[in-house]
Amino acid sequence: MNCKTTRKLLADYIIGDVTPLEKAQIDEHLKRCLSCKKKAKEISSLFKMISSYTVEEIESGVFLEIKNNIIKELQRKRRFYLKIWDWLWLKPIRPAFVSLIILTLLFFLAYPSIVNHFSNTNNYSIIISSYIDVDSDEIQDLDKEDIDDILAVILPSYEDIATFLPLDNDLSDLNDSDIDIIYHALLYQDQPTVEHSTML
Amino acid sequence: MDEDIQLIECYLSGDDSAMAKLIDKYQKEVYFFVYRFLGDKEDAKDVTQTIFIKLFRKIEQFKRKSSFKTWLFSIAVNSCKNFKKHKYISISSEDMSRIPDSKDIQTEVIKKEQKEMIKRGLLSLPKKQRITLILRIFHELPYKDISKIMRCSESTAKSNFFFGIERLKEIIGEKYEL
Repeated sequence: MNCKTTRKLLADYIIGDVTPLEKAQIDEHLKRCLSCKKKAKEISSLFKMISSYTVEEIESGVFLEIKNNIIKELQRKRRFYLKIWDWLWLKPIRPAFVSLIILTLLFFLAYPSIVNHFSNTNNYSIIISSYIDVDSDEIQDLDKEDIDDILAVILPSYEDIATFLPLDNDLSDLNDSDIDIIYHALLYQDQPTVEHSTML
Repeated sequence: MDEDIQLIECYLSGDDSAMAKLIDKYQKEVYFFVYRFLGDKEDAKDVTQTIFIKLFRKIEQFKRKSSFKTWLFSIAVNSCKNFKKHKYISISSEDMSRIPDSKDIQTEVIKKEQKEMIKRGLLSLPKKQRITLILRIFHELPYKDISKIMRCSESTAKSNFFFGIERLKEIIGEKYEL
């Protein structure tokens, strides 16, 4: 073993963490190399000095204090998370909870069309209630057949409807957009717009 | 099964006494490592607490590829590196020369001064060399574990140790005959 390799291994050699082969080779090298022997002595003295570097007296109770602080902090956090876990993630209700989240998400995704539907119904009821003596709340409960009947009463004649609709349309065949156009026309007492006609 | 792993399993199944046992087993070792790295008792206390809190919060992430002690020390090393960087004591060789001449002082005083010298010498080393030296000399860890803790190769760990020793020898050799 040469000086360079020996010096790289000297610290480990002094600690005693070299293979038996390396140890034998270093021993042999140190016997004949004064320079490396000197280096080994220096490192050995350094390690002796370092070993005296113990941490100064630790006040009694420091470790107990550290331990208590750790446990206190961890238990505080753990209690907090466990409470949430217990209430929200109890195994039996887990599928129900996940379904609830999915349904909520779906509801919010469909929210604009739902709102639109209800607001339309509300508009119809206001319009109809302006023509007949029924509360708007009651009108909301009417089905399409009832609305058709009311329309027949509201509209003076089939000819009047014909001004808004193609003549081959039957009242019972009215769809939502037809009704919408008729309401619009009745409310504003005007003819259907070009846009409305296109819809028909 | 390894005792540490058993304690971790118990802790994960809700047994807090297992946590206390793990703290008892390792807190002194961690505290001394942190103290030697930072050189301040109060900081060592705070950082030790932080290390264990981090450890138990992340304990489910322990993959068991290395020993628990290696994993613990890798958390300790990162916490020490990240601890209030501005507070690191940087000591230049001029600072070292300001330490009073000790030839005529009593043995106890010399010992105390030697301790201070080693402390300052360690603190003046680059972080990687300092960590490697502390782990190798005071905690007697093999290069294999040090390389895992430091996330480097074994040869890098060996080189850090070699240059750390050389530097420390140089610093201490300026004041004391080795």
